[in-house]
Amino acid sequence: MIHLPDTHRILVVDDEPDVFTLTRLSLRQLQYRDRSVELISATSGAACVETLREHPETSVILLDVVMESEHAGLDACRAIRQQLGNKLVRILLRTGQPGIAPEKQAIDEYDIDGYLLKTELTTTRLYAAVRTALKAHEELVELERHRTLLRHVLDCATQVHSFDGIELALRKTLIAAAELTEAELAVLSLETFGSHGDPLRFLLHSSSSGPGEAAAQEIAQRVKSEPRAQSALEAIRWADGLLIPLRLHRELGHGWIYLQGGRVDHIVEQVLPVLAAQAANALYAVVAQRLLEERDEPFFSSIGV
Amino acid sequence: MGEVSEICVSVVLILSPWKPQLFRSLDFLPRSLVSRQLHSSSVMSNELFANKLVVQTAALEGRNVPPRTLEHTGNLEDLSELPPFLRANVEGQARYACSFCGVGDTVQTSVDDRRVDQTLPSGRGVLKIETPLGPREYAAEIREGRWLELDLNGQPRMTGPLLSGRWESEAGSRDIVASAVAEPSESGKQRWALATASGSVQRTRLGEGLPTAGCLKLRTSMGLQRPVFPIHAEPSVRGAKDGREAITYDAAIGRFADLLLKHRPPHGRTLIYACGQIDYFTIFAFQEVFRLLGIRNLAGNAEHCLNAGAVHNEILTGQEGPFLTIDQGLNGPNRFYLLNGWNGLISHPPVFAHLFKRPDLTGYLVEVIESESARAFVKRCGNERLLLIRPGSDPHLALAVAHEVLTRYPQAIEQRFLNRFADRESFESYCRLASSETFNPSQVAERIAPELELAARLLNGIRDIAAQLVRPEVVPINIPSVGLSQTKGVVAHCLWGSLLAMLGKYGLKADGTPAGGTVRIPGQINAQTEVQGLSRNYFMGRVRFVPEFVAEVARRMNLPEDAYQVAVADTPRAALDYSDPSDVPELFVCFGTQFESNMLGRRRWIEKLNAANTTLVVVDPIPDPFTVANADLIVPSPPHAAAAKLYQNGEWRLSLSTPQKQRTPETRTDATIVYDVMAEISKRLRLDADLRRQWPELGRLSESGYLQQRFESAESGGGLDRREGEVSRPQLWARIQNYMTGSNAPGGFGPLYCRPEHADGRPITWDELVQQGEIIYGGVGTTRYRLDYDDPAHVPFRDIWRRPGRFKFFVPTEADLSLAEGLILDSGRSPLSDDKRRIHFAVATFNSGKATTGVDLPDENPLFLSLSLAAELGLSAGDVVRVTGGDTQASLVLPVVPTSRVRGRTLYTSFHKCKAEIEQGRYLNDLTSHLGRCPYTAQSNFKLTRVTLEKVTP
Repeated sequence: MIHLPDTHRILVVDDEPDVFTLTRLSLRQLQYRDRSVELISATSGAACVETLREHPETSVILLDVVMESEHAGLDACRAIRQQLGNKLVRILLRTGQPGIAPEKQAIDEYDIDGYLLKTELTTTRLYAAVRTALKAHEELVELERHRTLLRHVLDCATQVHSFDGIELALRKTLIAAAELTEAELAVLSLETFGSHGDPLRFLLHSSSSGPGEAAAQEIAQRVKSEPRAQSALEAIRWADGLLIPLRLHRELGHGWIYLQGGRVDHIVEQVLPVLAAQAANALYAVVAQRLLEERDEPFFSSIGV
Repeated sequence: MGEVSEICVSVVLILSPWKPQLFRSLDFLPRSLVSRQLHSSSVMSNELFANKLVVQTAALEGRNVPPRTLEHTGNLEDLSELPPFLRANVEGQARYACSFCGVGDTVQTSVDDRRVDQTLPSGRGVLKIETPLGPREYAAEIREGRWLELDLNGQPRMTGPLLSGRWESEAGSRDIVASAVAEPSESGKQRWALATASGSVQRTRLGEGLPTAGCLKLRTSMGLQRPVFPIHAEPSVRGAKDGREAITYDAAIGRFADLLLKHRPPHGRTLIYACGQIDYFTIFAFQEVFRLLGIRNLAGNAEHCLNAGAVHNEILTGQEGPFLTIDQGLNGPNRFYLLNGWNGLISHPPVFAHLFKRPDLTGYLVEVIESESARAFVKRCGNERLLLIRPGSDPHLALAVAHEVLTRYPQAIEQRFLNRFADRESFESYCRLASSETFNPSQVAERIAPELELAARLLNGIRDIAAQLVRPEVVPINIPSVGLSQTKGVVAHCLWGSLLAMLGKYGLKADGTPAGGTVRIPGQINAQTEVQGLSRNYFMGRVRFVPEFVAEVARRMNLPEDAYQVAVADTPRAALDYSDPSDVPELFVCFGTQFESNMLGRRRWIEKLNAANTTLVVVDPIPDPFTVANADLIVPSPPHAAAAKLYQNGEWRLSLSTPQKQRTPETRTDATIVYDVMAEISKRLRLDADLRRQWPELGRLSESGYLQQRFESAESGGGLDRREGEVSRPQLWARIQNYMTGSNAPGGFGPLYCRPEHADGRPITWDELVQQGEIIYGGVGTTRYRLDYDDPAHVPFRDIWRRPGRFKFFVPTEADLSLAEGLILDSGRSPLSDDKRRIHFAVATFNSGKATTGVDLPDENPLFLSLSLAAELGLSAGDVVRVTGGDTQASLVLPVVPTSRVRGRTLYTSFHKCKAEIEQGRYLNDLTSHLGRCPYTAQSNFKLTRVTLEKVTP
């Protein structure tokens, strides 16, 4: 699952080692959204492609054109976009010989994101270009993550069927939430009604780091004793994790999903309620259908209403 | 969890050097710091402990901290065993009781805990998958306990991130879930990763119900669904600004004690009012505590609606109370049913359903509207079996049937009953009235028919009822709406009772089987105890406020004979009269919520409760918005599922309802709250000589040690045991039995009529109650009201002291028989709808507004009127009218629904909750009047509310 990197990685590709040093000096103050910036280097087009293969989450490439060959930078560009399929990394072409790679042609043919002439490149201009590229990269990653997560959520949600039993539907929901977030601990609680309307309570957990039983019990206890957790109507940050309410229509059940560890960012916070809502709909259908079968028929038919 | 605990401790340590007063008010802290028991207590989690500290610290700093609330009782801890304050010397089978209706259904509960574990052994098997397109089956293999490999064998690959299905192998079968993996699979196979989710599934099983089975109200009473208002978890007072301020339980008890003392006569007066389902122990606690404090006026909903059903028996026989069990009413041969205004389909569904299972169901249903029960009855028994009458005219109907019996079937009158057990003079007066031409069935039919076309059906009905009743083998079973019957309350009850008695069909036969009579199914689960103990005119056991009886009550409480002098001197006032303006400061203590909305003439009450010299204390877990906004003090008791309660239904069935959930630490049950407040007063009296001088009669009881011994805990040197903060119920039960038994020594009055005892006279012990969970006492269904003509010494009817008496026939006055004229607004539980959702809502909410969930809460309750009246007034569906109460002159604007289910000049609306009530303040009780009481029970005539209508043009 794609996610925002902890560090913005910038790959400087140039066959002149001094360029890397100069670039480091120019960007030494660079920071974006409180995340640090890491500069790495490659001295050829081929090395650039290999580095990208190894670090696909790289944010920006400052790419020289003429290196081991006249078109080494442009070839690397094509390989990154087409062979590696990396559409997210922002590529800023940096050339001292604009005749070999004219700006318009390079932008049109090689899907680059900026064109910098070494001769005109001041520290300020380089800083501005890289920062803009970082912003663009982050937004693209967020967008992609959002898209991927939503698709995954919808795929999972459509697989929580109303013809599943309650327990199976809950297990699927829990597993989907846990996988989506790569959570170390995922807990799901639901209080609902079983056959004949008897109270029925589920407490399920999935843990990547051990049994998790005690932790799940502790979370359940804490939810019970904290009004904010009990009455949450939307996903909230709580107890070092994310708590998403699970409410079945017509008060036929209430519960929550708790996720701790893993990748619980603001995008997860936005998309997981969709999964919870879909699961709640399916669960409502399961519970309501059972209750109606058992309650209405004997009740109404026996008295002729 | 541990972190919170650390924070608590460090706050105390920091504050304590420069705020020494903190320790005085946080009296629990030193103990908890030393022993640490509080931290590990199952009753108080660290969060709650921290919250308690926050509340008290904020109070010192003048900040408001609102009270904690719970969404529903599902958020409370489960209890796995009987709490210590209920424990007996024997293993119990205590039951869980429904909090709703007077059927008093109870069940035994059990909890099944099942583990969920998806560990699977490796091996081959078959995976059966349900898909929206139908089932699929794959041969498959589980490898290394974590991979699932499907053999495609030409079948399509499964898509999506998850896969679930039924795994069947030699090791057994179970549901599994797997997730998609990125790695490619071998050709012809598809690999998935088994996903593990462990945990537990806990099913609470509710066993077979008693006295009826399968009531959905009982499940609702478990409290898993959210009530419309939140559950309060700690006491609160009105904040300095807007909103409420949480206080501790101890602080709440202190304030409660302040208020009770401040309002003692002559400085003020107090009304204790039970709005909700308070239990037997609480009503006994009222007697012990409030009467000793000089409060005479104990009231409850019984004053509006329950008294009639019970008191009519006292008028007729000398003792209120039942003699038939519900089982006897529903089962047995030759039953002929008179369903008098009883809408059992809504109010008591399992009883109603049971009745309808009878293949030989026969009888009549008397109503003023075509209720849901009426519709069902008509479908089953035919149109002619529904007798629609004008509101308040059922006494005429009962007398018309008596007229028919007396004139056409005089031989059917049971002379043995008259000679042996009845008061002859009253019978003769009754006969004269019933035989008069006024009650000739033809005249009555025309008089009480809401529309002329219904008169013929009524006449036939009257004649047929009489013809059925006089048949020797017929056992008439009258199931009235125990509250008000057809709106004339006790008058109608007494007249139906007199009619059956005249035929010797009001009691049990010598063999204990029913001769006929009334099955009592009140609207509230503890209705019977309310009747026995909540009244301005009686002490518990319906002991009247006359000097010799008051002295007897004092002796039974081990008090000096003059102990109740202040209560005796207090003016008896009906609860509704407290809505009058007053120059004297008044304290209203409501056990239960929605006081103002339940009281007739609601707008007078709002004015009253907002008056400067009125103080409102509410003891209830689910206070309504008016209470939250206006109550000076709210002391929440635990919600029903977390409370221990002893109930008494309409067949004298005592049901001990045991808590299924752990109460929150700052709540106590109603009874304990009452005893704790008296213990607080006792402590103050002990320590403060000025206070003893100010209240000398209490001072004497304090100095004698009575108050300390009777009310304070062992920790304070007292004799009333508390266990985990709750008053010991076995000890209270012994106290109740002592009170009910009295003394047979010279001057003593002996046992009261309603002493909990077996049919052979042995008092019921606490151990028996816990062991059996529920017991019908007093010979109901076996010996009570046994009409044994062969035993010359037998006396079926006695007074409350068990002194012999005779059945007195009821002779109504002219005023009792007057008929209301004009447009009469009736109200009740019927939604008058065929919509299943509306019916379900009415069934599930019953009369308990606080148990109402938001599910299917209707937008509004329309005004139903007859087609003829709609035509006369030019009204059609969708029109809006202004309804104005005749007495109150207050108005409501309501949409109208013309319907054939209401006839003549009767109007009808449901009194269930709706959004218009909650959100727009449209309360039915704005129209009803606090005036117009029944002369026998002081019950109001709210089902006979005179109104005017005015069409509102948009």
